[in-house]
Amino acid sequence: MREITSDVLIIGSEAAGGTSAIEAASAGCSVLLVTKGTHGRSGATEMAVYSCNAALGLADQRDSPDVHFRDVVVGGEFLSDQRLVEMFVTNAPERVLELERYGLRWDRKDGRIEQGFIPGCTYPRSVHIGRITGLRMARAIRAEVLKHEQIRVIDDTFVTDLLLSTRGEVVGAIGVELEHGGLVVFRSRATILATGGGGYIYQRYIGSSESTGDGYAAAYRAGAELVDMEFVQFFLAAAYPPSLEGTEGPITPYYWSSPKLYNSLGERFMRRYAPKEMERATRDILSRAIATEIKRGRGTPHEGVWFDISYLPPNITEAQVQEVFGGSWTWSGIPMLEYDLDPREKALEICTGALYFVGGIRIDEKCRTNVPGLLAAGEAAGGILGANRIGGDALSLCLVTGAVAGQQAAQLALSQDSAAAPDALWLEGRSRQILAPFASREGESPISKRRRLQTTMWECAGVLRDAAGLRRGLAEIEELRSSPVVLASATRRYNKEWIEALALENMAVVAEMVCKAALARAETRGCHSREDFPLMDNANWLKNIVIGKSGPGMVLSTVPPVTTRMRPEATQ
Amino acid sequence: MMASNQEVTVRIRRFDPEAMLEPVFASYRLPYEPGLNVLRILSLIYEEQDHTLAFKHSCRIGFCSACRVHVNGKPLLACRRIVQPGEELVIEPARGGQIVRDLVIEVEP
Repeated sequence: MREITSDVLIIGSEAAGGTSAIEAASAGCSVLLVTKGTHGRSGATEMAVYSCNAALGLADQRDSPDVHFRDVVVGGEFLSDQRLVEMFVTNAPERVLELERYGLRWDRKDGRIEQGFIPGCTYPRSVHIGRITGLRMARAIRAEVLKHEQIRVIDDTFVTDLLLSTRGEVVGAIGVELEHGGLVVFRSRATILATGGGGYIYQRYIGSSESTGDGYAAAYRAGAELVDMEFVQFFLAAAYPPSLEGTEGPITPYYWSSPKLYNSLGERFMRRYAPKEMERATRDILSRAIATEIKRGRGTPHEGVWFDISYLPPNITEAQVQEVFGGSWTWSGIPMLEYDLDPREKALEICTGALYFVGGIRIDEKCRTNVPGLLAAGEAAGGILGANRIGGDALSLCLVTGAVAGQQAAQLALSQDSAAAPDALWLEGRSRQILAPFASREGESPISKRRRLQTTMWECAGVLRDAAGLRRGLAEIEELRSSPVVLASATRRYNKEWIEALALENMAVVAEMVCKAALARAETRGCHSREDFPLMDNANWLKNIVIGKSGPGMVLSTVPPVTTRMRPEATQ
Repeated sequence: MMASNQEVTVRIRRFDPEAMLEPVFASYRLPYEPGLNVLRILSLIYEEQDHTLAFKHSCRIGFCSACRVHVNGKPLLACRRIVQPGEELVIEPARGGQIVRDLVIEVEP
């Protein structure tokens, strides 16, 4: 088996992973930057539309990291680890400005970096580049990575597991080189997981199909703790046509115009959920409202609700499209008129889709996990944002945690003489397991298993949850995991079914975590909604759920949130 | 043979350098649906008709270029090529790289 050694190994190459690589290389380390996609052209970063939050105080002098801190903690319903929030809000301004050294240029107004407003922020603090902020960020980070000779980029390589020494330290990883199906071992003195989220476990997902939660699963198997896994943020996406299901382009007027939402009865239903904010309510309230309307049988033909800006005179919409997209009717990649989606004439069918995993691998303020040698950054890391995420915090959090993890990994790597050897017996066994689907003679296609998992998660652990549904979900996940798969082709060259089978192992573990944590949390808070426990319960649930592995089993425990500066206001 | 108006016919160039001496064209038919694009066609074929098909995709919205292919001789992104009822498509891998398998080519470093 091929073996590649470096000081630092980073799995996941985009906003968080790419930033880690730059920092670790700048500190003098050799770096391996591994992605199962293509560096700079895959994952969720390049799809981010608009906001990246940092308290620069340029749009409003009253903004500061202190205010940003408060917004994050309040927005997260007081479940944030406040040490991590301090780390985030303090470093965000500097990291956002650092990107301009990589060649990116934030939108400016009157010579100053422009900061837009997103609900949940006390003052406008979202920097942006048109409606392609993520795209520009991904390209800029890649350009900077390529300037560092000590960073070796490895594309098309699916890391299936972390490698542990016999002492339980992470000493590298094992992966599959997807082009020809060979196995490769990476050995390192410090490893960072920057693998993004797990949205693809849901039937309706916003983002890329690469978000299969690989990092969560690998960390879990290596003995790391995860936190806040019940908090999955859903947001608006197209429901129709099928080619566009889950894409955000059609709903971008949400950011510039005043869309009205209607159910199948023609009722402007937000009146019943947020009478004051209406369609400007925060994402969790909107998602709950939409999911409820659909569930109660008031949804559109393709299980959505109506999204309408046709009430505006066409010239107003055209002027806004001119301002936002330079007159182009291609909105965030979607050529609207070519799809017969003319928002001047008709309402669009929209739905909610899984957007962001607010929880993740548990880290300290140096992005270290509880497993020696292992760090986490970006969406893969958890504990910072508590029960909910304000729009715009994801991108800047990637930059901050990416930088911190890169710096810490470098320190760790340079303080050691060499990486300990991986457990050879385990490695041999796991290699055989990775290739096992080829030996299977009967079973179900991984494709249909994956679709079943996605449907199960959508029905049982989506926006609206209840105990019976979550238990049913867990039973279906268990059945899915124990039944065999079979592949239609024996080729090792880019065998999509085999890749699905490997990803499915991870998706099932993540699905189990989400369901178990959601079942345990008997209340509604942030983006976690229990129909059987519709109120927030600070008396019993002002705590985080931590997930770990004990023997073969998943164990849940609770801990009080780490508070440094803010206690929950007296509410409820 | 002409497809009916509510169908789309697709021929895809299949090739596995390790298992085949030369490429072959495989034919598929699928019902037209509103908003059909080539990426959706490839996904439907892979999921419902032929699990052995190899192709790449990531963002679905024309940003990443993972889904670049040749359709009827033209290079384009599968996710951006909208398809009309009754169309006959010939789908081949993009040029400019060694074929890994079917529509997947080697990524230039």
